[in-house]
Amino acid sequence: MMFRILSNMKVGKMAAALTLLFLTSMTFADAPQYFPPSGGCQFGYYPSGGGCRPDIIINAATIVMFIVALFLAAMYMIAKTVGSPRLINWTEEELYQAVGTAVILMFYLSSLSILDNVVGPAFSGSSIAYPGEVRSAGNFATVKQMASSYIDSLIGQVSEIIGYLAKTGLFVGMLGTLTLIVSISGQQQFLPLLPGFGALMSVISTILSLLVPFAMQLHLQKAILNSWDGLFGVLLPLGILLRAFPFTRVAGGALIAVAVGFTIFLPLVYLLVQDVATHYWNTYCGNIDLKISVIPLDFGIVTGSFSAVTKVVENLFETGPGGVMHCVIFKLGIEASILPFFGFLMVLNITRYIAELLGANVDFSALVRLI
Amino acid sequence: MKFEFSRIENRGEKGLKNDRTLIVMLFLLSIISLSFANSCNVALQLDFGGAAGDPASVNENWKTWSVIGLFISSLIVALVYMFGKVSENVALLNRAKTDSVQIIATSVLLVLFYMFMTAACGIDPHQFGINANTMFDGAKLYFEYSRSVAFFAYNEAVNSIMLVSGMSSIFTRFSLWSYGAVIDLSGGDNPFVGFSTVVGILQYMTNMTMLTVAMTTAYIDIFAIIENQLLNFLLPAGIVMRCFTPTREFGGVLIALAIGLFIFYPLMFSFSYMVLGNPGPKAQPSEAGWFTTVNGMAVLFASAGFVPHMTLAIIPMQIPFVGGMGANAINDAIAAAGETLLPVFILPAINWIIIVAFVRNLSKILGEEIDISSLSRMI
Repeated sequence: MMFRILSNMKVGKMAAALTLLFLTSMTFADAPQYFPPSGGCQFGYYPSGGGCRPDIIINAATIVMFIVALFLAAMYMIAKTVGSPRLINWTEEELYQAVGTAVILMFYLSSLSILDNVVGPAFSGSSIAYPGEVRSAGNFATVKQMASSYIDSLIGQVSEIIGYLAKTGLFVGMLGTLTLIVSISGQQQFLPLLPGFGALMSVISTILSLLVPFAMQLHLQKAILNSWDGLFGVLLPLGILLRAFPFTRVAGGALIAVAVGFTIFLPLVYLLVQDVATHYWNTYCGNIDLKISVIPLDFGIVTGSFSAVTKVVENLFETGPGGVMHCVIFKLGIEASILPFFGFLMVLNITRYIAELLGANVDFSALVRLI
Repeated sequence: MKFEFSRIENRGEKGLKNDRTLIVMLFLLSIISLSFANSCNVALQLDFGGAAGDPASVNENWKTWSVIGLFISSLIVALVYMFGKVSENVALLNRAKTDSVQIIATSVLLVLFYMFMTAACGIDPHQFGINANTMFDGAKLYFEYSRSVAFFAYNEAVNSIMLVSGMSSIFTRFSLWSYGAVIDLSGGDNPFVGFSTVVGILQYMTNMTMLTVAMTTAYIDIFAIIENQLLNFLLPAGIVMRCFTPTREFGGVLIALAIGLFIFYPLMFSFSYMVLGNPGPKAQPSEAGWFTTVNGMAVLFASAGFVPHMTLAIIPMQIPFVGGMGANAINDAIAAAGETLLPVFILPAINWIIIVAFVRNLSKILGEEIDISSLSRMI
């Protein structure tokens, strides 16, 4: 009905559809619960359910958009008054660009609202990739909060794995350097009991060296996700402001594209990664044992230690389902790196496409080269 | 030609047929903006060569040099015009006329830039959520934060190296059995030598964090050059070059570089500072932790030597405890190194891309497009 009314008002169908989308998204504005805030809510956010959530209507981006529109309207008025055709043409062109930015902003805010108010609550309890599977419950409602929580738990698991490997190295090293010292009339003989374990230590060292960069980049992923508020509250309004002027239009378009890509699509990517990875982990690594049992050291130390280390090593290098190495490779190599890497690739491609739509060309290959 | 304001009114709806009115308005705006310059700190701070608050010391002032450049250019063009007239060389006269128009255009550009800077310096960054007085201060806060994060990561890695190296070097010897003074059976062990497996990784992280410290230092140096030197050198040179046909395009490039970097470098880093949530410098970790722990452990094993077989009991008990402590140290070092990646590598890289996009766009408008990709390949 609304659509018909808007159509009858000679508003274009596209414009009518967009307006409806925008209005519809607003109706879901009060559904979810949030983390309690540590302080007051900043501008562009409002308290809801004990937390702060982005205000879709009054935020820095919409305020900047109105200021830009006001400025251009004033310019147009001045141009009309002084009767400069060139200035009138220029202002008209800028006004068209501003309308374009406003449409993009409306799309963006609607998508964000839908993401927070519909997608988040809908998929907070069930898997997207494997419908029917229950997602681990947590105190979150929005997709962004889910993604942050997921990354935190991933960092915790990876820290546990690295701790396990470090402890294994410690255990093996302790046994490997155990030496029996026989002294007869002052003459000493040193008899290493399990000298071969030294070689195992270097293997563990190599494994740890390979894993550390993977663990390190997880913290980068976390930092990028945590900058969500900054992207929404700073980069987007700045992009809109810069897009209003011809000299800075390219830079503004690039900023808007980055804000859209990283606040909407990146959390969604993590939602999918979480579903796929959790399903695999629960199926194949649910019973992984990351505990080291220290044997009692007594006079049966050689045989006892050897069998204990053999058990630890067997467990460590088991590459089949449930084996530590198998699960470590999956956790750090696939879940923490390759899947997010493809996700980032996807987000960057989307960002580049959005930037092209906005008349900007973001050279991400240059970014990679710079990094 | 004598300009009369009434002409604007008399034209009514017909409007002006040329943009002379626009130029006059811009000129008026520039005069108005100049009249406000004394109350604006940033405008005064732009007199980098002079003593603070003393606009008379202008020997390195970009505004002075730009105006001098314009005067010199005008003089040269006037001389060319004179020679053209004397020698009745039409080509020379045309060239001089074209260049004189470009001098006017460049003057307008300079006035516009100065107006923009005057307006920009009137903006209080606090209103935008930046805890700084100017955009330059905002950028400085960003660099201060990123350097503190880099140093924090370095200190964490060094502390971890100290801890695990110290632990792995502990050697304990314990008596097992003896037969008088003739036969003595004892044992020896490096209980925590397994930590040597992670020393190499921590050294790798230390190298990386030193790179991040070096990177932040480089950003700060570039920032200081942009703030204090770039405008003084590039802008006047660009203005002079832009006035003459053979060097016009390159002059435009220089002006674009000067303006783009001067405005956008601090602006982008100030906004990056906001994106990170206006963080203060990170407090550095204490260095005393590893020293106390290693010495405490050495004392423990030394004390255990007085009680028969006590060492054998202590080692298995200490392995999980020390292992957990070492694992925490490694994970803390990894987390600290990981935290440096966004402020030191990623955000500056994104900022550079935006700055480059702006400079390239501006240089295209002012003269010649800078082929940044070729430049970066060359570097």
